[in-house]
Amino acid sequence: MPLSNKLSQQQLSLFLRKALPELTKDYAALDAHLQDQQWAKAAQQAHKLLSTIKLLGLDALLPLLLQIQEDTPKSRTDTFRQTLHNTSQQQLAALAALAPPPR
Amino acid sequence: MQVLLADDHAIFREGLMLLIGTRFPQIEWHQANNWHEVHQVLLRSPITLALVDLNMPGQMPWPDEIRRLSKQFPKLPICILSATSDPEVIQSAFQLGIKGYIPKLVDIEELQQAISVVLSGRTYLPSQLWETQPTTNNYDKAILTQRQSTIMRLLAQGNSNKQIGITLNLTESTVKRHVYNIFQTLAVNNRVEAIRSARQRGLIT
Repeated sequence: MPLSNKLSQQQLSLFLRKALPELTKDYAALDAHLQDQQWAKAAQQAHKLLSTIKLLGLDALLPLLLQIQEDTPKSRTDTFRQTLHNTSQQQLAALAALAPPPR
Repeated sequence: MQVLLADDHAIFREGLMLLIGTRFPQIEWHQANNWHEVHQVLLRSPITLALVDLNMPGQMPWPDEIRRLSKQFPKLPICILSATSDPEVIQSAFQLGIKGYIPKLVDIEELQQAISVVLSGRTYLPSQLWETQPTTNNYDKAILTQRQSTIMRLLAQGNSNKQIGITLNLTESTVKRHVYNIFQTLAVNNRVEAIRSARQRGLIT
């Protein structure tokens, strides 16, 4: 993750402990918009998530979020939603591993 | 140095402040979550640079918000931070007099570099401005004099007229005259259009 090369371990852990719950919440909102077929809201939510995802170096999520932002036909499918779910879970788990709970 | 970071995504603000802080620990940060808070912060603190997102909640479309800011705080350098990298949006923002436009989706190293350019008082122009492939021909290459070509390259690097004058040992008014002549030759109205035109013609790389 690019930020891990720039921040101290303490800074990184503190930041990730705040960021992870927010990202989890933001992703859940995005998933709900997709499930409810609220495409405009999903596009707006994806746009909001893009900058933080890039900052955190979660690059596997970027092309998926860009597709939602552009509201491509593919991004409206169940298969796509499942891919997004799997990818986001993997990426969030990788982040969580970088932020051990405080002693 | 007091810097305002305005973005409606708190986690992004926090991450960015940490990141920039590793290179510029002397920055005193102020934050805003929307355009209204931007004005509140600017009224109460001597901000030296405003880094603002375009798509924050506000009462007006972003170009009007920028115009309002520029009118109320004419000396304040404004730099846009946005996930939008549409060249037309970028050009519109520069036409409003901003000092830089930093796409949020650039790599972290470039993001840090862009912010350091703006903090040093220079202008940061993102590569997304030059989406059209450059074309070259001998006619185009011959349309600027050697001096104008040099000034064009320095303009593209984000130097102000004053900085170009110092670099080339010319007065600022002489540089202004050269820049005006470049605009006439390239049939453009401002330096953003000039740089884009020069890139398309292959006059600069």
